[in-house]
Amino acid sequence: MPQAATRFINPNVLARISSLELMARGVVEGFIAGLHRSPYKGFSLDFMEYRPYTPGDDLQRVDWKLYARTDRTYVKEFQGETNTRLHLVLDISASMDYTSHEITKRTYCFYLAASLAYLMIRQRDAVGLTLFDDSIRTSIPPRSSKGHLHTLLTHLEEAKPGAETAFEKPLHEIAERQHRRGFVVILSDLLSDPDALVDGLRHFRFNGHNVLVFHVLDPQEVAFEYADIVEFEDLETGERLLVEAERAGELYRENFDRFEALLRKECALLGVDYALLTTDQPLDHALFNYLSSRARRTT
Amino acid sequence: MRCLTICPLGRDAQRSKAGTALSFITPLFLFGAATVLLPVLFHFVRRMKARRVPFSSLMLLKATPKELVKRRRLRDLLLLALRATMLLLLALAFARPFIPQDRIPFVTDRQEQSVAILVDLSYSMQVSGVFEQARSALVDRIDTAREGDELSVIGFSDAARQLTRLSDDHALHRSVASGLAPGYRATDFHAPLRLAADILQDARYDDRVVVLISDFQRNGFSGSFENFDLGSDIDFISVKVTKNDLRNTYVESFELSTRRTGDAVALRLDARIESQGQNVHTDQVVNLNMDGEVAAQRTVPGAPSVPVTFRQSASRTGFFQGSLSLAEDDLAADNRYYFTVRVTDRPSILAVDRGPERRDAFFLASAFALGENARFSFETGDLRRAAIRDPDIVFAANFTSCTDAEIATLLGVAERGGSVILSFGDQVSPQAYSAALQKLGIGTSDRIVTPRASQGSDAIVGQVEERHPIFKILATSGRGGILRPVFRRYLRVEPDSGASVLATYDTGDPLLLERRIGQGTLLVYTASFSTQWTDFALHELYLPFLYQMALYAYNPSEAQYHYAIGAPVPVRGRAGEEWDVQAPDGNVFKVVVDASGTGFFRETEIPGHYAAAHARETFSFSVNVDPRESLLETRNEEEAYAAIAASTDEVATVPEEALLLVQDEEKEQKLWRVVVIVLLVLFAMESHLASRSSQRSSPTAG
Repeated sequence: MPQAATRFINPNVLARISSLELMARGVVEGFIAGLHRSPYKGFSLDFMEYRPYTPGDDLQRVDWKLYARTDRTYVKEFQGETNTRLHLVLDISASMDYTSHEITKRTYCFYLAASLAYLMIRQRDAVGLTLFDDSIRTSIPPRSSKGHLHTLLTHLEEAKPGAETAFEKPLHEIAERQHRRGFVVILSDLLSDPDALVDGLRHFRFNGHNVLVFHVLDPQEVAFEYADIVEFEDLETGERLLVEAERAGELYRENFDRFEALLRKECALLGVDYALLTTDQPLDHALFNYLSSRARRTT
Repeated sequence: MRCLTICPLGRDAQRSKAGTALSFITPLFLFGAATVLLPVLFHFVRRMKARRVPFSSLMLLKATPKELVKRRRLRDLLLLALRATMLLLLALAFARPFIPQDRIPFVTDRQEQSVAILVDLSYSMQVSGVFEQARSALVDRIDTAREGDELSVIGFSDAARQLTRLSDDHALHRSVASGLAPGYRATDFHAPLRLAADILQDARYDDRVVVLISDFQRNGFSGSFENFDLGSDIDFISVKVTKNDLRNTYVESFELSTRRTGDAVALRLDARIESQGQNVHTDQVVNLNMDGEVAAQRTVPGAPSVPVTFRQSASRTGFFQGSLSLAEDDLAADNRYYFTVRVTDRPSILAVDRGPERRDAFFLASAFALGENARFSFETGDLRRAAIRDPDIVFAANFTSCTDAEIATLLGVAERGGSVILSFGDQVSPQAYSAALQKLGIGTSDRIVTPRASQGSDAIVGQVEERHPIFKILATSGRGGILRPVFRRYLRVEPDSGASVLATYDTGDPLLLERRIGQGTLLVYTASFSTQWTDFALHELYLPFLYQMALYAYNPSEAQYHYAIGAPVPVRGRAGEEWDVQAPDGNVFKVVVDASGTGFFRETEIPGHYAAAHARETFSFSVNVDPRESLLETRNEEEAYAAIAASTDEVATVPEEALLLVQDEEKEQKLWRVVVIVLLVLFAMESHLASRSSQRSSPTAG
């Protein structure tokens, strides 16, 4: 992917853009420009075909140039215009505020959510948003209007840090509220009871939703490269733990591998797409994951 | 000179305390040891930062057992200690350490030495604490000498004196060392080094060393080192003793003049005050003390060199003892400058003219008898009056001859310090006078010469001793003037070997002769002071000539009353006279006047006022320290070595040579290799410990 087109997708660069909408536009336009030049034509959002105008179609979508040439009224049809309903489910618990560099997991998730929302609304898909920690903090039903994007982004910008993560209650509630099938994208560090998470995902799948789980972690939460004697303090509970970092790191990485493997396995069994993201990765990885997942689940 | 060791006292002292203290070729690298702070700081900063870390969730972490944490902390400290030690050793290796040969413990194969230890006793060593350092260095040298080493202690200032003979009686050396004290003389390094070289010529051992303990005052390095060689088989060790931030003020030069106006005598004292160190920046108070009281005070501004002038009037005649005193500073010996001034009555002249018309007396009276403001008191009279009034100058004119009694009277005047001036006229009997002149030690007279008869013209002045004070007039009046007077007649005198001819006629015969008698002078003017034999009295040079002669006759040697420490003081009198000279400390010395009329007092060892007395005669003089010694500029050891050894052909650039010699010692020991080996061992240990840590912290491990 050309560097010039993707430079805005680097989360560290994006952190310098104060407006979430501006950031999302930059990410998505850069991402799309990249796709145009990439071999992944199947994910192109470009014009696919014309269909005759039928009453009720948006007049803005009429190809007036074609009309001038042929005296026929056609409407542009784009690939991917399947009126998908996307529901973004964001974890805003305290653990999401952890960072070892510039971007917290929460900020990264906000960027990603904003970018996905922008991308979807650009395609006239309906996008909803739920923020949760141990319960639902904000819930906005899916809409596809351009003004809705502003609503979503405003809620993201004004979101306050939450408490502990608990999947049982919020995931089931969200699943209950989504009556129409759609795409549910969960953005969380998943640092909670995996059984509760799996139970919630199962609920989504039971309701016929396609689910994509973005497991967003800080690079240090994956690599755990601490040294010396360290007293770690849990951001959610305040609990402290004195460890010799090198020795504890070995155990941590083993536990993490086991934890990730469990999640992958359970997601695979449920037919849920799982993607592990670290906050130092460009956002296009996540967008690509999303489009890939959507293409897979809608064909 | 075979070898040089430079031992600043501080380092030397440290060595003696440490026993096996290290020396370094490049000690500046030791500053690199400061880098040891880096790992220490890093260790503590890192510990503080890592103490508490907020983390997203502890669900994947497990507490480490406390024992392991403690062990880890110990390992960290061990690593820190290892790293710090490695840095220290690295700095140490670069500094190239070595143990001075004489400090290596348990080394018994060193040969016995013959050592001449020179200790500076000049008065610059009186600076507070400096001589104590020197004594300590001397005692240290004696204490560290081997039992068989033979030592000789030499004290020196401007002269050197062997205080102990070469011997292994270290108790004696130590005893002499404990009794040493600096004197008041100046410094000269040449004499002691030469003496040391001479002493070591007869030394028992081949390993010969000269140890010079001094402040290395710059003043002490004279040009006499140009042809000096200590000897190719003698090691030279310099030990510098010094005090930092010296403050000293002293009288660098002093001049005293008297001016008489009639009976009043004005004294003018001009001195130059020099300061060093902090004293340059502070005002200095100078007190003029006369006869034990403060007569005047001046405050001079702080400056390296500043003049000061005092004007005093003399209230009486005789000797005045005074001093200029300064505030206390690091060198007390030069804070007081002593002086002696003699104020006398107007010099008296007695003119004895035996001529029928007393024409000489008339012309002399015309020249000297000028009333109250005259420079001299003048009278004419009989020679017997000379014995009673004891005049300063006696003009004896127109004597036919002299009886023995008259000769004795004239000699008595001269021996008491007065002067006799003889002149002649037609009345003189050359043959009869010849015996008198012989008794007076002038020579013989045979006839009255009439030059016109022998050479067809009157005589004029032929040659004069222009450097003689009497003929200073020629420098101001022009030489041509002295050629104008003509001499129609004169008494021809054949000078004795003891007489000096100061001027001659163009015929070659003496015009003016001089002979010193006792403390006085006898002058023989072979013509007349009147116009009887010459027209000199009618010429412009006549009066200046008379006055110059009278002044010279009154004080022919410009009486001196100020001497430097160590200078011989002449004592004049009759042969065989015994004078008592009392020093400022109360000691009385005897001085015997020899046949030439002079004895010398040589014990001018302490500054102050001295008093000399014989019967009813007395005089005083003052002795001061040499102001050059007060200038406390010193050389460092390398400069000192360069100055001492500059003439030795094998040593061109001394500091480099010295460094090379020390480097040789270091190369023989190669201690840096040991340090590097220890460093490598520590490095291996550190690597092992650190790798254990890094293995644990590696993600792929386990």
